[in-house]
Amino acid sequence: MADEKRHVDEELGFAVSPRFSQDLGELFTPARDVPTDIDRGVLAAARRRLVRRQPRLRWLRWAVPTAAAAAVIVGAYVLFVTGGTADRQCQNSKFEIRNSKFPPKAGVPASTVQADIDRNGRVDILDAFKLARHIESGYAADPGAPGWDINGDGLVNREDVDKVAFAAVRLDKGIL
Amino acid sequence: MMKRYMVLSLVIACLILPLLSTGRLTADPQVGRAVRPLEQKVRFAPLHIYLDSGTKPLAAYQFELKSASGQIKIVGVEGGQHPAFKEAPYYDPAALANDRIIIAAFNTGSDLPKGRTRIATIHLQIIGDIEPEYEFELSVAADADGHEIPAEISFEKGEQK
Repeated sequence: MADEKRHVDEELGFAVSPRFSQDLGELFTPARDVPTDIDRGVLAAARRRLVRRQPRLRWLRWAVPTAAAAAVIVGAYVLFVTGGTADRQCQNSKFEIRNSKFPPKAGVPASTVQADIDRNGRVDILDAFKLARHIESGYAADPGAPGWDINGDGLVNREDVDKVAFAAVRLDKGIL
Repeated sequence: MMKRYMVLSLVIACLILPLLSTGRLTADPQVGRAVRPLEQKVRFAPLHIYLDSGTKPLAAYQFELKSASGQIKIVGVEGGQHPAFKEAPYYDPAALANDRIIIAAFNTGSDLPKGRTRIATIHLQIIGDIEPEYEFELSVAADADGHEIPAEISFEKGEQK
């Protein structure tokens, strides 16, 4: 072994003194063998520790995907089943401007009451026509005039007329 | 470990996909029933709408059009012949690409049409060979004072393209 090493060292040109070689050997040689009992003890402790952690990991492994799946199912339910209803409610709320002088009747949306200028129970083009005529006559600017500010901008003008007209031709308002 | 996650993910995906498709069907059956479109003949045709208010001046009107048979899509709306109704009438933009529309217009001026006048033209896309039939419902026609007047609605088919 020592001969082989010397041979290799000489070939590669790494010749070192025997003393240095001996010192290195002493430095990296274990002081003594680890007793088998200690080896087993360390392994047993490691196993106990790992075994104790496994149930926690298993719980987490199932809980995270289950929670994710539940979130997806709830999200899908909200999106596909109740989403349409929410949209419709939002659309209707465009005209949800309360009129304190003419509170809505039970079962009649506030939007309908607001745009129903002639108070005949339905919103049609005649409501827009009458509002336009009121504006042209100057009556709409009268402080005593009913609340015809349909879009809530503080003014009663052509934009309110358009709003009533568009409410009249909306497809989702049902049969006139 | 990775195998378990993959199997678990597949199981979850298998559970969720049917639920999603069921929810979609419940919310909007038309989407669920989508079928592969067949090669169908498509043509375009205008529909001229006339209103006869007799001797009374026409200041406002509102009517509803829907297809009774055949497959149509409304692709555009334009105003009428008389200057009082020359501008495009009011309609719900959601009616475009639909087979039902509510159209309305008014004019507060003094130059109003009497008798039979073209009040609007509706441009249609007709799908298939079946000649569509239309249903009209005149909701209201009014004179310059906003009083309802009797009127008769009719239509003429324009040149198909």
